[in-house]
Amino acid sequence: MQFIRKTNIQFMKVRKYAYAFSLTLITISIVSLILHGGPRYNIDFTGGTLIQLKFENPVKIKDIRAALTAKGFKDAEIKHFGNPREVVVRLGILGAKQELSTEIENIIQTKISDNPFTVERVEKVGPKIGHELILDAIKAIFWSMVLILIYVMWRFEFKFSIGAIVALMHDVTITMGVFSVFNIEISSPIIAALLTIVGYSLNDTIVVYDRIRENLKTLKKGSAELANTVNRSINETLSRTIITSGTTLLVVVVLYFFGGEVLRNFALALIVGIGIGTYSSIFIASPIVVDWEWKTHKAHREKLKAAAHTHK
Amino acid sequence: MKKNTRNRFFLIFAVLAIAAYFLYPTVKWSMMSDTQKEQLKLENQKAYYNLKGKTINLGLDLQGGMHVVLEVDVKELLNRMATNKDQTFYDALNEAEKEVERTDEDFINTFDKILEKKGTNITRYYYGVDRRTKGQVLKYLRKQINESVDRALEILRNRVDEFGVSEPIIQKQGDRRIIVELAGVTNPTRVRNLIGRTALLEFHLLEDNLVTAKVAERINQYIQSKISPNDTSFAEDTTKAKNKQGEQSLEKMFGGNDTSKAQSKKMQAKADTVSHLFEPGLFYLNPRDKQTFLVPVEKEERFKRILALPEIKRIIAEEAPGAEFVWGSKPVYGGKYLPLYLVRKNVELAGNTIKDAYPQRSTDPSSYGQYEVSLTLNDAGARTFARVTGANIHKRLAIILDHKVYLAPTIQVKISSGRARITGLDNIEEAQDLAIVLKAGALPAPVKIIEERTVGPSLGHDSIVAGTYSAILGLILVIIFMFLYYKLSGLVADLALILNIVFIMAIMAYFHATLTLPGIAGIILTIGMAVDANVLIFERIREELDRGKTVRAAIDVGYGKAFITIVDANVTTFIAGLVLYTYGSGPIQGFALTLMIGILSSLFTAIVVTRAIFDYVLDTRTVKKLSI
Repeated sequence: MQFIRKTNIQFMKVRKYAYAFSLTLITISIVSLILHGGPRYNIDFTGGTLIQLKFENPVKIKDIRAALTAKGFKDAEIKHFGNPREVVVRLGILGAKQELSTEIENIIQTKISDNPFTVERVEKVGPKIGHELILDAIKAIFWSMVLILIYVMWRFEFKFSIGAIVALMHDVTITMGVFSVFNIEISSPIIAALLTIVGYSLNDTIVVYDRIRENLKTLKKGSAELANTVNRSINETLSRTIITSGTTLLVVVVLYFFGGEVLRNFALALIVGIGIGTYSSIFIASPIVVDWEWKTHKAHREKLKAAAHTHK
Repeated sequence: MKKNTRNRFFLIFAVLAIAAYFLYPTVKWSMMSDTQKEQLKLENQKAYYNLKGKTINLGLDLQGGMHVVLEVDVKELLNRMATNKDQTFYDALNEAEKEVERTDEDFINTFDKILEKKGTNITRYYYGVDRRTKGQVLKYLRKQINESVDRALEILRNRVDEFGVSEPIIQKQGDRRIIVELAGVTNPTRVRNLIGRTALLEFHLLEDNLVTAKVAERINQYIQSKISPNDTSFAEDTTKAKNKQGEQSLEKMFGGNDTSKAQSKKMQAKADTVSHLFEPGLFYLNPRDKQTFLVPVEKEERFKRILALPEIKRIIAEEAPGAEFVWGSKPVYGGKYLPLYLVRKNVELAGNTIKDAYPQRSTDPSSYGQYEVSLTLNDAGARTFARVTGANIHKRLAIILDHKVYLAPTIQVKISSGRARITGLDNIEEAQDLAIVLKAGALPAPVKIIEERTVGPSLGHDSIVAGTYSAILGLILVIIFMFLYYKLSGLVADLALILNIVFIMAIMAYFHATLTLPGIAGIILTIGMAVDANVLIFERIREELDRGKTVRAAIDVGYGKAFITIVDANVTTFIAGLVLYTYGSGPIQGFALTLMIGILSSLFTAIVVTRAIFDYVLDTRTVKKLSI
């Protein structure tokens, strides 16, 4: 079986459309992030209390809300978690006595006494920890980018690392944007997913770069334009790119549907990221190398011209 | 088979054998039922922990439990240490707290600045003989904060046994935080009590050695009688009779239904476990002092249960009515034996009378090279201490923290000055630890919970089931796809994929690494990505075949050219994993770990293993057409 035999798709010709498409997505992402006042962090980052309860019978959100509001917890966020029997209660506060979770449990127990529950999960995070976590996440993304860039620069050329970094930022921004548009919370596993996307997207990009490098070597110098070589390389690796993305997407989709509620958003981030990452390594990372080359060459040529001019 | 190929197969089988060896404990562990585990723990604690230490550890999010991060409550500590407190002091303390929350500045610095702004000086509240200048006071306060973390750590370590958690984790994080992880514990109130309770430090006299020897003898007799049941048919009979009675009455009560049978079975089982407890060599009386019971560490659990038996309680009540058994805090004699002391219940001196304690090098020429702890008592303590030491010269005084004996030094002389030295400590660490313990009774070690995560056992169980299910489903789908797409070559890649998962598990078991829910996700992701190397190779081989190369040449070129790409591509993902491992915490680290292990192992399986199989096939038969 073979999905893709020899192809000769003119990726380089459609790159302007791809740029426009990506820019639109990035703009939407940034606008959404600004409108939402930044990413929507969960209590891992903001600090607060989360209580997950599993009731014996399906329970109504409004009953719990009524019970909590009556006792002064007006801004509690209450949601079903996966099924109507499970409920997550979130509070932005820790509680002075640090007995908040017990208090909430007691309130619900007395108000909804005919439907007993077990406490599945309690998370309490101090604001300081959350603050440090954001810093750590930023550091992690920053350092992974720096280290990967150094590696790419060492293995390839500078212009390739430009393409790689642009593609990376592109992927992370759009994934964050998707989360922002759909108002999904960023938890610390999501940060892990983002970093995995960074690694995965580069993996894809580097396979193409590797082929470009190889084709540049085998071709006689000047016998072909860089653009043609890049195009040919993308076509040659296209089959691999699609199959690997396919198998990876396959397992991540399985994880999304069967991996349980806790991992659902994590899997979603990976699905979005792997999709975007595959797209960017074909339509963004490699074309940018060509554009960069042209631009610098143009600048270089103009410089030479100018230099020649002044000499006269 | 060519020599080269044969060597490669040797390598693969060697790796496989090692993997099987690493995985064996985990498989054995998961096959054991809970009662079997309990049984092993009783019979041979060492073997139990040894086996457990070689298995893949389940993270708290999978087995349920509590993860708590504590931080020194600097505000509370400053409050408790200060003297001459006035309104300005309290105001400044509260302001400092608010400011620190906003700016992440150092608490003491902020507090000091605010006090200055208010026109007063920090030295006013923390003045002492050895600290007159501001610099000295600040240095002193910082030292107190650091010491209070160590104190809290020591107190927690000492107490955590109360939970009976098999592998409690208590570690220092940075210089102000402590992480406590308790598997299986989900009751936050219990943990809060463990943390919040003030440490109880007391001094008790050890029971006289003659009495201790007598108790030891009688316990020994009792155990001996249980080991050879012929001598004690009477005792056996009574327990049996009791059991029967219990059975009958239960049957009467419930009309002989299933529950009663189950109940009686349970009781029978209980009687059996008791009879299993006894064996020779459960304890020794230290021949040096005749006052310390030495229990081999692997028998600790057994002996604890024996001590709880009513017969033993009766022996103590008869022979040493005012005494009780108290365990030592750590094993002695090269970690082989756990000391157990018979201690008088009467409190001779309370720990809150201790003003200060510090470790130092011995000044005595006779104990050159040894260390000691010097301690100072307050006036009331000094008076009590003078009386106690005067009346009990040459007896031993046990230092007990939260019901554990730290040390039981012998009283050499009457000490009436309120300054005592505990001598004969072998190294500085021992002296430091003792000083920490001595201060625990009087000085505060206030900590607050800044992060707390509890996962109930059922959620953890659900997560394991869901995770395992998706991993298997994902695996099957990828295997089917690879076979459909690359035919027989795909099957070779599938074999590599399965080996890859075996290797990941083996490496995790070897390092006793913790498998978390995101860790399972990491393995699942690896399943999808691991075939990438083979996809790269196979696509390359197809290309070369299309160009008309022979099967052998196509395979050679395919592997050769794809290799560089595979390495380059995987290094980047590995870097991302490494960074994640460095900055992440807990479950995230688990994810990064499985991801990194997965990359390394997939390089081996996808390149070495599949190549060996191709070479073997090419060596043994003539292949005109490759199934790819």
